[in-house]
Amino acid sequence: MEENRQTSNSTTESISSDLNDNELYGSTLAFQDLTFDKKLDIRAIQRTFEGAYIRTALGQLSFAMVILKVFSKDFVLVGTTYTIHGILILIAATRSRDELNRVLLWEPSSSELLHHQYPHYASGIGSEVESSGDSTSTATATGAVTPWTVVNNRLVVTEASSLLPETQSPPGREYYVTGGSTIMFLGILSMVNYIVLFYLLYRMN
Amino acid sequence: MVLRKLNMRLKNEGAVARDHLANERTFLAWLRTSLGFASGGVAITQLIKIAHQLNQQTVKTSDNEILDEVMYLAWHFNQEKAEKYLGPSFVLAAIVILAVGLWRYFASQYWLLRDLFPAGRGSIITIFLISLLLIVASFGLVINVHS
Repeated sequence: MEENRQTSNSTTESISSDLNDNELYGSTLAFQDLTFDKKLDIRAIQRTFEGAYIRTALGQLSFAMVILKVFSKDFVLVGTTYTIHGILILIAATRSRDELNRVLLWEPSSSELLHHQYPHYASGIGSEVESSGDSTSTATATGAVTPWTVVNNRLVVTEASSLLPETQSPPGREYYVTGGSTIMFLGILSMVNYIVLFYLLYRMN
Repeated sequence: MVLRKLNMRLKNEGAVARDHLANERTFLAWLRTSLGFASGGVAITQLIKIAHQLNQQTVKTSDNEILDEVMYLAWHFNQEKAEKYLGPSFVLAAIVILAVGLWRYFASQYWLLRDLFPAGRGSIITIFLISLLLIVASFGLVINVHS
């Protein structure tokens, strides 16, 4: 038991010195290990938002440009509806992306780490640190032991999140919020666009 | 907003987020398909308009009796049938495809929450029939103009 503590302590120290290089310059986010699952999630988010949504919006805007520049003057209103549609898709995509990133890739900001206690994030390390005795961790106002410290007004993580017990996953990736509202918004928006388009094309004769 | 009620908060175990994001991308693929049909409708309307204008000029300037007759028929056909209905019918197809995509998204979501996935058949048959109908109609237009 004593030996175990010794090993974990030395591991902690070596990682701590590494992590001091990993302080995030000017960022409010704490350093956080990316687990395999989290990387997969990030890639899926990028495929969806930076890929599919943006492609849809750009397709609309490109064709709007073709209509407005190449087609005859009767199609000005059609081109305008295309432009509005493309811009609204872009806005919906951005909003949805930000919202999902906030939920899925949540990381505690430095002020959150200092002023609040996140038991899920801190409890495992707290006990570890207490037993090791010579921790570099700081105590917050609430008295909880935290795996981070503030150096020169910058947040420095002093414990690796890989030292969390296996049963505790890192923060973030706990919940997923489905994009039903964005999908329904796009559906209704496109339906309105098509109805307007139908009217404009039918009226053209 | 009222639409927010459609957002569901799920526990992200395993590939839950990835599954639902893939479902979202599939809807976007449906949306792009339907937008493609709508854009095709706009383009066809413009093309027929150009053909119409060219035909009018040709009818006026041609001294060939048969050519005049053909151009008159083509012009007549364009004016009465194609120009009026082909473009808007592409937009109608876009509406149907979008509705199928929306239905497919929420159906897939319903079954994903129950660890199942619905294999698509009706949606594929629908898009096949719609495409076939519009292709045949466009082909008919070409045949009519040139016969």
